[in-house]
Amino acid sequence: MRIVIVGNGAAGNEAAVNLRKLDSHCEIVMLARESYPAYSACALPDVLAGWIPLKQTFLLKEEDYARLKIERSFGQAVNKLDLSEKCLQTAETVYHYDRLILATGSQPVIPAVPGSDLAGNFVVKTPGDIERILAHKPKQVVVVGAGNIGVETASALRNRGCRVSLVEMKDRIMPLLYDQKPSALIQKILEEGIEVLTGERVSRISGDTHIKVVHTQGQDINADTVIWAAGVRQNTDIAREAGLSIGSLGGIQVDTHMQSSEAGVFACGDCVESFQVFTRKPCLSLLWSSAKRQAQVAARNCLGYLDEYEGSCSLLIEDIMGIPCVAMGLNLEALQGYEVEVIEQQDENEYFRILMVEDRIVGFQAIGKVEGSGAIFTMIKKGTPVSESRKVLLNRRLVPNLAWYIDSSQYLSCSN
Amino acid sequence: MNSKKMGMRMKRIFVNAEACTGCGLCQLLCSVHKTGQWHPALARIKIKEMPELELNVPVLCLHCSNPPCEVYCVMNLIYKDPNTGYTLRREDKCIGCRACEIACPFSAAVMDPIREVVVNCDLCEGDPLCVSGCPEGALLYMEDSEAGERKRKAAVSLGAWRASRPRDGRGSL
Ligand SMILES: Cc1cc2nc3c(=O)[nH]c(=O)nc-3n(C[C@H](O)[C@H](O)[C@H](O)COP(=O)(O)OP(=O)(O)OC[C@H]3O[C@@H](n4cnc5c(N)ncnc54)[C@H](O)[C@@H]3O)c2cc1C
Repeated sequence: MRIVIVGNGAAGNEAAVNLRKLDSHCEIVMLARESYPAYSACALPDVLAGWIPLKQTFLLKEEDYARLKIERSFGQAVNKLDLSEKCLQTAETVYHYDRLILATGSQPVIPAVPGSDLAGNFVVKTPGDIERILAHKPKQVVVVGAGNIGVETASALRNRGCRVSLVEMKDRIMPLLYDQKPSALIQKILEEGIEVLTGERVSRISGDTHIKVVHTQGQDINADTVIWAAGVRQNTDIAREAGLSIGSLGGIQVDTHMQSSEAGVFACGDCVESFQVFTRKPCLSLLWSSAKRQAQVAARNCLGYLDEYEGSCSLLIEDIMGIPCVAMGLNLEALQGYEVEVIEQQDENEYFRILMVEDRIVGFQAIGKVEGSGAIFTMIKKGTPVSESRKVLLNRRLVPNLAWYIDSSQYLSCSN
Repeated sequence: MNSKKMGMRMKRIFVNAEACTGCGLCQLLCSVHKTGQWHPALARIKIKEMPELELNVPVLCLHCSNPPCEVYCVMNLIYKDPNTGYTLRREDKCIGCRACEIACPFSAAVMDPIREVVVNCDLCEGDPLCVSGCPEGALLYMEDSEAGERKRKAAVSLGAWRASRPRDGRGSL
């Protein structure tokens, strides 16, 4: 059987490795637009910061692909998918498949504001982006978008010695991860080294050949570099044109087996629309871990082994100026329509909040201390009732066998 | 792979919390063996104290079959050893982000602050010092099947379990 994977990101590589683990004979072909071997996008800010060398971000070597018997054709984009002929077309070649795994991922968006085409505009997605940014020798940087990528990029460049302004259109930083209060606390920590402007939108960038000034409604910021971290777009063109169903959020629609609307065609990673583990509503997960888990499911089902995706549950940990911050599950904004109980605790150095719906923990945000939050994360993922955890923790016989509950007590004991 | 390694396939560390006095010797042995420093915070085994229940529960990596740490690792450096089933990591690749620690229900992956990498119990090449050094026999190094057998017996009578543990002060079986 010949299985073709489109995409060489977290999802594509995880799919390939899992296919080989389960089947030593099948033919595996990987196609990708870019020519890099597998790399971790998540580690790129660490390279920008100067903490790790670029080569550490690469995950597989030539030998690994050879050992896994993965045939590669990198550096050429797939332009067309033909479902009836079961083939893919690049500019040069036609690739036939028996089964197909689409792992085309996502791409950072650069909004069409005047000046966004000047030299000095960048995104952070590939090793090439990092090389280009460093070669540009940035000194005064505006990072647009304060999601986790924007925040990490801003901190990283600050660590390099740049003067950094972080511009966010919404009223707070990391609005998809944190609620108002923890977001404000993190902003305060960031502001020790970075200028943070919330509720501002970049309207224009002026300069001659190079960037000179970044304009928002309220501010003119001198800068030589702009980094766009203002969201991503799913790479779904070939799927859409082939007639695969696309969801309401713009991702390729899949079932719990990660199969698309066409039998034998699977999809996983940033390009798909999956569902959130608690609400069961469609979501674009856009996380490394979801991409990997979805790829495992796709690979197994592709070979006829049953496996079901259990839903996405986000977990993002950030080092903000040396202070660990974590956000998991959903925040209040994402929980609109539910009756949410918020438990919070704060002292000089630490803050946490737990979001509960009825007897379930659905979100958790913490600053300063992350130890033991694995128990909370597990409860969020599994939907463990809090009352059950309390029952176990009072039972001398049960505790040793369900020891993972123990850490939750330090967070749950503060409520009633 | 040598025959000694083959012989210890699938052996794991099991915990008998009833026997643990919380003395912390296992942690000191682990930390000094793994880091050269004598500090419980550097150990890959933790003791969760539950004073209300008069219980101390040693907690360490369980080497799960589908480990969440593996999925949540953004450097893809955690893997299952195909021979032993142990959850191992290529530590030199680690960027210290701690996602694996938080993805673990036990937070059994721990930050080694000296090398700034996250580590988990690797069963010390088949001779875990925490087990041999535990004066109470609270840690047992054995195969899954053996542990299952012991657990079934223990369920019948906790006393039988206690009587079955070695009395020579060393946990070796
Ligand atoms: C800077 C940064 C930091 C991040 N930090 C975190 C983090 O801390 N934690 C976390 O969980 N997630 C993080 N993420 C998100 C995470 O990296 C992504 O969710 C993950 O990489 C998605 O993988 P993917 O394989 O689905 O897609 P991608 O990595 O986007 O890969 C898509 C692949 O498809 C190929 N492709 C696309 N279209 C075509 C075509 N038409 N023809 C041929 N090839 C094509 C591309 O060349 C590429 O190889 C971060 C992302 C970035 C950019």
